[in-house]
Amino acid sequence: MAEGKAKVLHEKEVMVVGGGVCGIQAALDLADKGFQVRMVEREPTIGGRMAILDKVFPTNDCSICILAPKMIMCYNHPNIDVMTYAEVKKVTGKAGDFKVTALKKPRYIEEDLCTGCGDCIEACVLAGEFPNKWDAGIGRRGAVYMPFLQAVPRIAVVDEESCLTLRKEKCKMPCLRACQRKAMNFKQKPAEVTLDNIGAIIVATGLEDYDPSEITEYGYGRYTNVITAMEYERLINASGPTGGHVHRFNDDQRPRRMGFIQCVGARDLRMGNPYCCSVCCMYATKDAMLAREHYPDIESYIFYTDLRAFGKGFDEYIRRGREEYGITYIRAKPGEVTEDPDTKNLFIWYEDLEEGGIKSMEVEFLVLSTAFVPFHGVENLAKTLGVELDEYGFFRAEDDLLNPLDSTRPGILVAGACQAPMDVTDSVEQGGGAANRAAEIIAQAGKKTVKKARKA
Amino acid sequence: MSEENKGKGKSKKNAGDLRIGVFVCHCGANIGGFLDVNAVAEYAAGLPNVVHAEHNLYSCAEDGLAAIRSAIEEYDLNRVVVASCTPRTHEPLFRENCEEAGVNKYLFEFANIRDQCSWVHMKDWDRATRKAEDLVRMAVARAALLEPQEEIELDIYPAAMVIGGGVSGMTSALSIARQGFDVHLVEKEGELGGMLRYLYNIFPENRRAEEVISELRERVENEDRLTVHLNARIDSIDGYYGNFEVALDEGEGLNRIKVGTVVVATGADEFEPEGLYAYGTDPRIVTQRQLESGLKEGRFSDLKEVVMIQCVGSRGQVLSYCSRVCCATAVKNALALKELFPGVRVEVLHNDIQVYGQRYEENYRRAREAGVRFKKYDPERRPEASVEDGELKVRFHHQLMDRDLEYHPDLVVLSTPLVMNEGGMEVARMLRVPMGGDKFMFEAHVKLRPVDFATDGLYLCGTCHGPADITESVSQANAAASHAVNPMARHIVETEAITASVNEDACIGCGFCAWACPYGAPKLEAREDGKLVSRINEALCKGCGTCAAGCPSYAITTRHFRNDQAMAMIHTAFPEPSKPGPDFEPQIIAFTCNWCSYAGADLAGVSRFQYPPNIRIIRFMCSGRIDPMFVFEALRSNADAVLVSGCHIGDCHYIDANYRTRERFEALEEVIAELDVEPERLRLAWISASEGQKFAETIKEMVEDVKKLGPFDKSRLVYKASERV
Amino acid sequence: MAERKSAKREPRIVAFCCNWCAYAGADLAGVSRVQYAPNVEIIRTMCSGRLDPAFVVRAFRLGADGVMVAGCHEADCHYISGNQYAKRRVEELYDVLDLAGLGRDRLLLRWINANEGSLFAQTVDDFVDRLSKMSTSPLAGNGQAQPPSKRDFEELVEATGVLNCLECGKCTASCPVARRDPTFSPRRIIERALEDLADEVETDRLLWSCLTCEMCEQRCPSGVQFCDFVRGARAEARRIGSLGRASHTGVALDLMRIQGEKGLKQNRLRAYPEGLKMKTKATGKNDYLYFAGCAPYYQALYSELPVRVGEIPGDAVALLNAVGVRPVVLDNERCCGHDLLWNGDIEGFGNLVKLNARELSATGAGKIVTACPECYRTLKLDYPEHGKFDFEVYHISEVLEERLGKLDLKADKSKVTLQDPCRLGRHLGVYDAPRKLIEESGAELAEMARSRGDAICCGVSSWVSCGRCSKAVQVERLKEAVSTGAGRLISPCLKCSIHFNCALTGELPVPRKEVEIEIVDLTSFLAEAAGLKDGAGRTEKEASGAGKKAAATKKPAAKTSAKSGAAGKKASGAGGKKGSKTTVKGKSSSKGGER
Repeated sequence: MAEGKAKVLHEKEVMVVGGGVCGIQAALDLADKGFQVRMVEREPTIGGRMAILDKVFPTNDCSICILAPKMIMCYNHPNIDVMTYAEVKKVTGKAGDFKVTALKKPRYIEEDLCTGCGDCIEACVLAGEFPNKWDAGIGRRGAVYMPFLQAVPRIAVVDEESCLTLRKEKCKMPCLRACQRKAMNFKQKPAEVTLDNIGAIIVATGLEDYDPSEITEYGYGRYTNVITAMEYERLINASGPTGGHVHRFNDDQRPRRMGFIQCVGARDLRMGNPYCCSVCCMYATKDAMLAREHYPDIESYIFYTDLRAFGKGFDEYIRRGREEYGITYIRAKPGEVTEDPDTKNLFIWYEDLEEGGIKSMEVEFLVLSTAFVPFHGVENLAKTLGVELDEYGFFRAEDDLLNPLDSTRPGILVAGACQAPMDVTDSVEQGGGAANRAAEIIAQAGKKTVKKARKA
Repeated sequence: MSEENKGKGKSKKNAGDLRIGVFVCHCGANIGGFLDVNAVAEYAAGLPNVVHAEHNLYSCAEDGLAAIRSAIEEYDLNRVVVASCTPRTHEPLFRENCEEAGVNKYLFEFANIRDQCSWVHMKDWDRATRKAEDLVRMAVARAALLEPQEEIELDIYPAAMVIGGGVSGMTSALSIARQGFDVHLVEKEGELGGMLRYLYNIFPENRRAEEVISELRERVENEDRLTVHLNARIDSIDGYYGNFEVALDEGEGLNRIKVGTVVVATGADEFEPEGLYAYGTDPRIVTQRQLESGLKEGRFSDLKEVVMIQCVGSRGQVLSYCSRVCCATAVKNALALKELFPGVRVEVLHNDIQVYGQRYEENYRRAREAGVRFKKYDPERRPEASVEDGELKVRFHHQLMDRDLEYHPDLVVLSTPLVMNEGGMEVARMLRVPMGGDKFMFEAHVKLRPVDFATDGLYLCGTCHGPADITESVSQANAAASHAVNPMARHIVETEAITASVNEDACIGCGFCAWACPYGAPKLEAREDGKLVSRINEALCKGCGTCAAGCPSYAITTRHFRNDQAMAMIHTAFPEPSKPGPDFEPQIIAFTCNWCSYAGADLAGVSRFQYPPNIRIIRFMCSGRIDPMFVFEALRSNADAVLVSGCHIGDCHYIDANYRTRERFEALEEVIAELDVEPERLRLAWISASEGQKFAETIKEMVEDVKKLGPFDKSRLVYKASERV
Repeated sequence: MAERKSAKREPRIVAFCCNWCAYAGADLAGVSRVQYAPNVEIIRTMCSGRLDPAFVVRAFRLGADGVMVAGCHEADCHYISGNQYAKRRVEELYDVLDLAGLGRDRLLLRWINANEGSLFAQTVDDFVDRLSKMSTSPLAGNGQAQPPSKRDFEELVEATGVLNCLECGKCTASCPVARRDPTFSPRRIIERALEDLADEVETDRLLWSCLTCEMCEQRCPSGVQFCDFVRGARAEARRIGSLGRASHTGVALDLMRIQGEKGLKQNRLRAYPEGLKMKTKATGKNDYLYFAGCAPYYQALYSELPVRVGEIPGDAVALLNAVGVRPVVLDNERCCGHDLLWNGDIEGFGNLVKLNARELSATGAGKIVTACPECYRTLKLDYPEHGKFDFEVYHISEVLEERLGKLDLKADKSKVTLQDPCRLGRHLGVYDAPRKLIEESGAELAEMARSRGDAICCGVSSWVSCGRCSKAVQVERLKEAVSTGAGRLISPCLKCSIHFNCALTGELPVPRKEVEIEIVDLTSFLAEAAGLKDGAGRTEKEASGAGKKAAATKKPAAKTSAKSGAAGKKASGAGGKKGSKTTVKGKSSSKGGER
């Protein structure tokens, strides 16, 4: 679609909460329909989870390469007003006519002045002091930072918790001098923005990784070389903190034998996540493939309960993993993981389900395919929006069957992984679907008012 | 921007003698800190056709933009070159700025002296400065040849057709109608409902299928903008995006309708497990669908034991793929059986239960708690079903108990996959849309464009795209409806301005372009004078230019990326031949695609990966546009080596255009070899947008390699060539 | 033994005679036609040393009024010193019988050689006299427990979440037994259950290999309660006569069944040293009842091990006193029945529940505190399921932690490590209280590689299937303990103490230094840290002993408090070499002497 073309053809606007691939899709579709879109993203950049992935299954497309153009198109689209680092605070009104108040958190940087040159970032006295959550905590950042290289908008952000100045501690503030645009502004205050012309709201807030440290038997947090899939994703990513080099944390050696344990925290009644996360069998396979592409002699072992490859081309993908990439799939849920105190290698203890008997597999690196859980603070958002969550904290659909994208409150739609764990494809489908429902709802609401007018 | 100043653009600027303005950006210290911006600006001022050159601290800042606008006014500029960051992020901004000042946005040209110069040569002030000058010179040379472009707008016929009257089709059609557009719902059968008509009840809601259908049917019938065509076959579809002409065969003669967009929702069929598990030899061996219609009609009574077998014919038995929904279906039906026949034993023999997400996993657990027994079989040792003296017998090896078991059920249910149906294939052939290896229809991009076909104006949803449950089909149906409505909502179809155009007199009608085009835009047509020529359907063309690069008679070119524009840059890249001797510095020209490799080069800059400043990048939309001629031309004009770079195979922004790149490059290598040119002088590298490091490494290596070879002796090229004559 | 029910009847005696002396002596009595009472039934053993305490306990359990043990004179045992073993066994059994309230007088040890026919006859007659003066054994007429009624297997499968199994094998991979015995797989047992192969499950000896440590349950993602399933299946197995192999010839289990006899009047108070603040009636629901459990019995039975579990009740009450709790204690407290329950002896367990429930509620106390994790689990979880039982049940560590302020703990700074017993930890989730207390004590707590929920078990549960595998588990656990560099392994569970100590006796598969560590009971450790282990410390706190108080309320108690002193003195001779309960009581210094 030739961007910059569409004009605003509708009087009502649509709000999209969340700027991940699902939200972006919804926004672009609506903009192309000629709607004015208001996107609210709580992070300093749009792109969401997909932006920090290395590749996507089953095509092994480079994730950011296919997403970045969409991020930029979304940000530059004349019909889309992207408000990053902001949150929805209040929603009143009804389908076809909502009033939304959003709170724009201070970046302490004037968005229209910043050119994303990064001078302030280099200048920060605390540069590299804090784990960067966009690098799953592996990469490090300063008090002022850019989430990741391809962040959109390319505007730095000052983290209140980290910044000395904002913590009212002593700081020479070299950032102020470094920035020749004079974009730094420590006086910025949170700003309320009220939008009173919203016809429909699309919620696409995504989800969050499960922290596996409470599953003590696998030793995450206790053993040096046990990491989560998301951490691995950043390690193997060419634009990640290690430039795509997977290495062990004790000796910087790259592993020759890797283990993956599936359903860590998922399909697990103990943690209250009995559901299946739908994508882990696939991304583990992808991760193992990528390892093989980086290091042809690496061996990968994937421990699973049910190998779930149900999507288009997925089963074939697993077969390729097995046949072309030499991945070994083992149907067993390991009981525990122990560590060799000297080599920091790991022993995965599992039952050989067919021959019987317990075996232990020594690996140099262990990746836990952790579950996805509703993002932190979802309850508050649900309360603000006045919609219901399901028993796990995902947004509930009004009618799972024929209206899977409508929340329990008319006019508010839920799409993507905030509704259930799902892959990019499904998120994109739902984003487009939700956009469509939004347009439909506004059209219908319009009709009604017209009818009313006629009657009157 | 608005219509009027676009008009203004055409009338006033853009025409007449060339008046180029050059604006060099300091980007604070990001450029100014590593090369001599003032010098570059001065140098630019002396270039042909440049009537004005200045430098600003931040060209992208509002004051910078204002400066450009006023300069356009003051010096009556009709071409604008900005030397600063990268077109990938800032071109839209500057283009808009030009349009505001009345310069057609296609008359704007970018010189990337930050991401691809100052940031990657931070320790070499002089050479960085010289490279910046070269880049500006190249941009100016290209700018001189730029032409104003208009994004062509075609009217669209404001109606849509949805093919297939199942849940997806009905949902999609309903939604289109509700957004205020006429829609034709075409169903080959005598009634709506599709697959749903055979089902008993539906999870996750556990509602009766009939209710769901009738609910939908009612909505469909009460929607005034929606016309249902039952017992209708599509006889032919002609036309293109925005203007399709469809002939419907509805029994009495052909009914011709006109639509702007088409949604394909032809659904799927259940695989017939002929010859598997004694299917067909006994009425008590049925498929899941037969079980459901059986339950619906109350055909079964007091069942004591039922055995279900999963993956019948799928996942390698006959078909390769997993059909996504069969496990959930088995779970659902097992629960239904438990409900209808309390005390019935239900065994489900499976090869991993594919119940994903929350609801299906829940149902799976509910079924286990209800006593349904799930047992894993080994795909190498599938179960066996037989009828022995009137008794059903299922022998099965319990893989995890490593034990042979035998059951004597009074019903065997086979879970068979969904398969593409005949009707669907016929439609696919008619629309000339691709089918995948699994025979299901093939979308434009598996991840990001799941409901679009590569061809504009055609969309798909539901099970013709691949197995999906109702919830998923409905989401897809909505997404497809959305895309089908969008162009109608805008009343127009925009097409790329950057498209291919044919010089029909030069065209020899070989049809290469038609073969090479990923979008089927070129068609061979007989001209009035009978000559067979290629004609481009601009509504379909995406402007990758792989047709132009391959045209044997140079009859095709792409707007805004014409051969002469490329040549201009090639010729101006290096003013002097490189100096031989110890301090020989190779001169390298790189041809990159816009989406991956150029972005990779930018990323090298953003990440400050340093590499020698011996390279000049020339950008095309796609590596498929790179004509072998460009490579020779580069070698003829002072380049010592050439780099060709594009998206990795499979990542191409234009589906598969970079396969052509590969073919051409292989051919090139042979020629180069024949001409005794060292192979190191020609290099192909697939570099993605995230491989900044790889880009930097590639350049380093190449410079090292070529250093060993010394300057390229052009005369040799010519000589060899002439010798052949 | 056939049943003959009658209020008073001829005493019935079982005599164990060695082949070379006593049995020959009996023959000689016959040859020389010396007459003696017909109340005795002689069982011949090659040597009196063959005497297994279990034989005696079984004899009493089955209704014997007296048991007589006869062997060669001390000097001339045919097997050098076999009869010395007999002697020690009998001394242990004296304590057991006293505790059980049967009285040591029902057990007789005599040296009779081959030419002492008349001595044999005389001994029998005298013994019959003595017994005739005593009441008939309260156990008379006790027979085999009635076969339990069949429980529906499918019911069991449903009730224990077996249907939820995903066959992932995590249970087996987590199982300390399976890790050493490849034939044992919880997952396979579950799968058989899912195929409805009830008989196969119940007749499988492996059913008895499970330690019921709940490692698998804690790790199972699907909430399958394997241990509860095993417990249920064992009850079924018992019904069809498929039993597990009980350790020590089942002596402990028989003792428990004995305690299930309502006629029995135990003298448990004798196990408490003097000078403790205790009472036998509660003043209100807020009063704590201290439930001692079987510690005293085990002290007697396992006096050969360097265990001091016999001190636990005293230490526990002393600690409770120190924090201002004066607990109710029972002279006739019954075993909680934990081991019977996990052996599938639902009936035996049922008897104990009935009797205890009655005794306990009679005191009027509303809260129970115990130092034994097994009692804790059983009283807290299992009693309420077997009838009315509304008490708040606490582990002593919880009660003490609440009142930390009142405790002044001063342990030496040495490094210690802690065993998390399965009942206390995984079964009931008490991990922090013991740790808190140890840290308060000033000792440095070094955690083992596997701790809290991941702690591995002591290798044996409810006296069944002790063997190679148990030893391996124990050795591994002890290795973990030693490798922490700690000097002492603190265990809140007396069973753990017993099993670990047992593992350390005899052959070891690894160098001793890799596994040898002093094992201390948590309660005793705390008592010591609180300076409550020397008698003096106590009498200061409390002038008149609990004995007297008890005497006021209860007759037999008076007798025992007197006895206990004597018992103490006497035992000190016996215990000296092997460190039985009383010698080393209090004097941590004398531990040196033990080693």
